Amino acid sequence: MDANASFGLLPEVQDFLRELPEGMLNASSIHRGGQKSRALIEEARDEIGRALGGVKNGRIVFTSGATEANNMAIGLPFASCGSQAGELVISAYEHPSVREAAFRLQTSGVKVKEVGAQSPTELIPSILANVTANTKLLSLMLANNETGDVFEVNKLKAACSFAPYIHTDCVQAFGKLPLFWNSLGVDMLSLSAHKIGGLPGVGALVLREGLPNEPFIVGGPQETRWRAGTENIVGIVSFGIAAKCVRDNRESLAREMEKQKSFIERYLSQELSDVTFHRFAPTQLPNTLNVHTPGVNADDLVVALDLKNILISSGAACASGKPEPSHVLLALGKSEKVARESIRISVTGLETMDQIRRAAEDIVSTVREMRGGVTA
Amino acid sequence: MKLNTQLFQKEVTRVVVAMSGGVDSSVAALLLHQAGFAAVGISMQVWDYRQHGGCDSRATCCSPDDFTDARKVAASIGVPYYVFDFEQTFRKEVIDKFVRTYAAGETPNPCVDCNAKVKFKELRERAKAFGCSHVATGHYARIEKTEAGFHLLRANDVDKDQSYFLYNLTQSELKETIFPIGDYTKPEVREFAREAELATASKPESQDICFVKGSVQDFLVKLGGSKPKGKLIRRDGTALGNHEGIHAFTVGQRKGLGIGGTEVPLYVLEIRPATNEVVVGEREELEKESFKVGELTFMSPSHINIPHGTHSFEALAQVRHRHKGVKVGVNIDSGTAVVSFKEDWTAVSPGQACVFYSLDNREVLGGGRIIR
Repeated sequence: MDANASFGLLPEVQDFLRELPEGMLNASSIHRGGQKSRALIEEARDEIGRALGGVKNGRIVFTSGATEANNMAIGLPFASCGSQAGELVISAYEHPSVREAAFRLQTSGVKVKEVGAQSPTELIPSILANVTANTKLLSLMLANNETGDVFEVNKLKAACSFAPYIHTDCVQAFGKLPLFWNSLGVDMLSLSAHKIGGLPGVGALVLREGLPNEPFIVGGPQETRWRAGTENIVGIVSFGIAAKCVRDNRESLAREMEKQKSFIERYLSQELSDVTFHRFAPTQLPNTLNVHTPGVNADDLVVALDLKNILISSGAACASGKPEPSHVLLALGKSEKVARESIRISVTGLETMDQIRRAAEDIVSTVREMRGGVTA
Repeated sequence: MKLNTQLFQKEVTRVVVAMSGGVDSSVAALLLHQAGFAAVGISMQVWDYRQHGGCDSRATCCSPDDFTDARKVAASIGVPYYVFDFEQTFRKEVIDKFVRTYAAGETPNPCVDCNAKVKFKELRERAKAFGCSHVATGHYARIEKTEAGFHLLRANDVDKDQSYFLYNLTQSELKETIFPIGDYTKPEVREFAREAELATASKPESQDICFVKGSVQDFLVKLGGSKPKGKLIRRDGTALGNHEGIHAFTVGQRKGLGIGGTEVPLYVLEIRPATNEVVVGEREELEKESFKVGELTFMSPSHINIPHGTHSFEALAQVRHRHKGVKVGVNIDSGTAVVSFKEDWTAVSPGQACVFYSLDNREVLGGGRIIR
């Protein structure tokens, strides 16, 4: 139940991997072996475009993952600015790959504003209030990975008095919410394959036509000069297969997610009277719960549950695997103590209700054991 | 390599193994697993080198590379593995005390504090939350059970013995502790790791103080624990020059006094925080008949009840890591011990642990902290 970390390979993707075609030659090669690879890549690109409801006036560029896509998106408007660096506005709830990319730009003179809000209705106005004529880029995720909060990215374009580029990280939204490139009103959109059941190690940045061609990684002319490097064909094909599944199954899967999530929420509330659920925006992802279990260290709970084969998560992990309190919960005004006592449960929708029920029971009994253990 | 007999003396549900990413704790985990225990490997993140600076990525512990090694070993053995954050407790109980002790002109024992407050306390408490009845570490020490209770013994490898750092474990902690490699020598442990093809088999020894990279002095300066310069004097008050701050000295120290060209080698005799003076003199001047030890604890079943009243006994006293131990008479009154040398004497440094061993040098009786 840690779908937001990685969805796990879809059966359709596993089938493809079991029967990998021969070749997989360099897609840039002129010969027919290369052409075959090229065709596979373009087919995947089309599938992803279709899953986004068509990509009018845009192009999909494959990357090594959403982290690269986010880095590329954040850096792109500033790549050729020289000394007139300009401003960048991001929300306080962004993924580290957006935040760290933004903070790094500060050293080249970019003024970065990280904007949070006291109440959900204030978020969009607060972000817009920070935009000036000098703002080159605005970045707001569509759905938060930790709390599942959904933000009204589609309102930014029309309400903005200036015309900065708009980027949205749709890594968590894709596959869980209806997602249409044409109506979001953004210039850049990041995606990740493994969050929808494809292989880890591949992502994409969707770019509106007319953006300055400033590749993040330079070298060969791959991806129509937007991203150098030989394409990760297997990863890209898996991404295409998973995107097709999103188009075919998203609605029914989201209904399952919602059912499972509601069950867990109801059960935990009934059995553990003092738990609360962190949520901020009026709309949430159908699959994500962020639960505060007072008096229980979330990292210990994650370990205790892992030893019972229940996979959940607490804060984001750093390189050493050391758990840090969630910056999202801190930005939402929660104390460090509360952040350290909060876990994230994110379902795939593919679990059976029996599995969900057993997991919920195990969570409750483990929390009780741990509370008993503390006072014993 | 045979499995350690200690392992079978206890009623174990699940064991948490503190894995540093070194060879000793790797083999400890392997032995437990092979003996059929459900082991869980934990690496303790105690200090963030990136945040606190002064350290490259090849830190001796707590670096991502060490955790990668520990993770590899755990995966190859087949035990679950996690990294736990102990930074807050470690900062408070170990680092702050380390800095404070040096600033007060004494010499700290961070490993003793880490064992008492972090490894055998917080780790144990947290591990109980997921069903671990016992804590295991890669310490070279042994625990034996008799009808009287549990006995903490020196390791079979006397060169590697670490029982000195474990003197303030209690009976109930010994009951719930396992030292899987205590019966073996370091070469045996390495050989075993090589046979099992553990990733850490050839890893070099770690330094004594895991969180200090480079010199202790630089570390203290960085953490604001350095003291101003002061006078370096002889016992009769003769000034010899200036010193760089009392934090840089340990009683008995010979090198790095900053005074060259003396006819006979000079040693630090005394550190006087009140006047910011360091007193130096010849080796003979270090000699004392006795010294005092406070914060006494005794865990040996034979000595467990003594710190409260007046009591005398003979023992071997070890006053620093790698010290061989000397025969002493111990007279306890109101929680403080006066320790008198019986045969040989040695220099003692206030702040360091004084650990009492049985006269046959086999069992830890207890110990305390050397005071002025």
